[in-house]
Amino acid sequence: MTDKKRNTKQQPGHEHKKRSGIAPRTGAEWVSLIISLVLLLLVVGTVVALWLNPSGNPARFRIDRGAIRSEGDVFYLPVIVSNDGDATGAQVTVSGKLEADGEEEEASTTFDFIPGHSSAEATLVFSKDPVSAEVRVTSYQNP
Amino acid sequence: MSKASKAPAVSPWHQEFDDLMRAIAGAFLFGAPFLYTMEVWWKGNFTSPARMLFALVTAYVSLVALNLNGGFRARQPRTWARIFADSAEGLAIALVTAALSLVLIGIIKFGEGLEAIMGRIVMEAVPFSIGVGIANNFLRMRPEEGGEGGGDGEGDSGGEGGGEDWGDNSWRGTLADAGATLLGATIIASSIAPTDEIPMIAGGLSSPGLLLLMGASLLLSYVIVFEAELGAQTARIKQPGIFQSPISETLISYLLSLLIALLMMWLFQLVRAEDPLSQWVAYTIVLGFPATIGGAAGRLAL
Repeated sequence: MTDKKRNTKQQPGHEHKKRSGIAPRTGAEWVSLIISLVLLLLVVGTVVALWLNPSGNPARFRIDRGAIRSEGDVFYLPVIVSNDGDATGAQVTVSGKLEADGEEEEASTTFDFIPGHSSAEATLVFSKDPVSAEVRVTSYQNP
Repeated sequence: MSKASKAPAVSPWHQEFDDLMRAIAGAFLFGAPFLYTMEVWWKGNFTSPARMLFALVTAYVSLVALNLNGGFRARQPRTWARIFADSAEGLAIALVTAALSLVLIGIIKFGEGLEAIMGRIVMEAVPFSIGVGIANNFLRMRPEEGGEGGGDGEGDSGGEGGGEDWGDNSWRGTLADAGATLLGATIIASSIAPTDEIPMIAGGLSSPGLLLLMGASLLLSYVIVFEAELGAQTARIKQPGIFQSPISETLISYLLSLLIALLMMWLFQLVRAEDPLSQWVAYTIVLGFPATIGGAAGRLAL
């Protein structure tokens, strides 16, 4: 409906920005089209690169322990679980085992998903100082 | 668009800006419920690159089909070259809006695996691109409001003085706008409030993140109703009331949408009276984002 108008309303100031004198496309439309195409090329290029270089390493987990914090009788042990593999791990279960005063104590938590090269944080809670606790990933699922 | 009506002509840059804003508005109107669906992000975590490409192609083909009779430009594409070009732009807009909004709600963080990030963006971009493709069908002028597209100055100029029918009763216009906002916000908020995404998203956002989300809500609400020249816009300008100044309309409708978000959360027991204030505030802002989009859509449908 505005076809005619667009042509007549070309302002002189925008003329020099036009890339093509033939197409009725305005300079502004060219700019957004070119930006869009560059973005699409980037996205498609990235996806194709991921496809062509399938680094299909299975999920592999590393655990970093944070500083223990105690409040009252309770000890909090923050852990960061990093997936160094390429595949996503689902239902990643982290357990901490602590043996103190002849008693064994266990704390565990489950992450829904930890994608490849990503990490997630959680806190395990113990009733004794977990400085000697053994923390590891005990199971995960392939989504 | 009262600004545009005073200008003798709409520059092509302004026209292009309006078209892009319309595309963004359409993307969010259709995409917001998908943005608040954790399964979409989760599936993105383990989507293979081949499947991502397939999703991109599907989105592009849908955009081509939708652009035949919809799209996001005020001027309908006439040639195939234009339809293909507009569809490429639509897909790019969908990818950008999906990526930005996923960052905004804290689902994408820097330093995560590239494949998982791309997967989430691509999967979320599929509903967003459908929103871009039907932006015109959602939001364009209805025929009885004059054949001129909202972008053309002549089409809007009649609206300045205010219609006589409404002139004596600005309260009626205000109440109608408020009612439409409340209704639109309720429809969206009630479908999202009972889900687990609200606590999940709110839990991952810091205070600056919440402020950014508020800013984005206000901006989108403004864009949807004012910049995108959507729906019954000429009719809206004729209707007086406190909703008529763009800034006050945006602010008031945001407050109304927050109110609805709060009400829905209380109704679905997402928050209880004994919960801390910070939780109330965070949840309300997080649910307020889609609620505001719904509220803006409601005012357009008026």
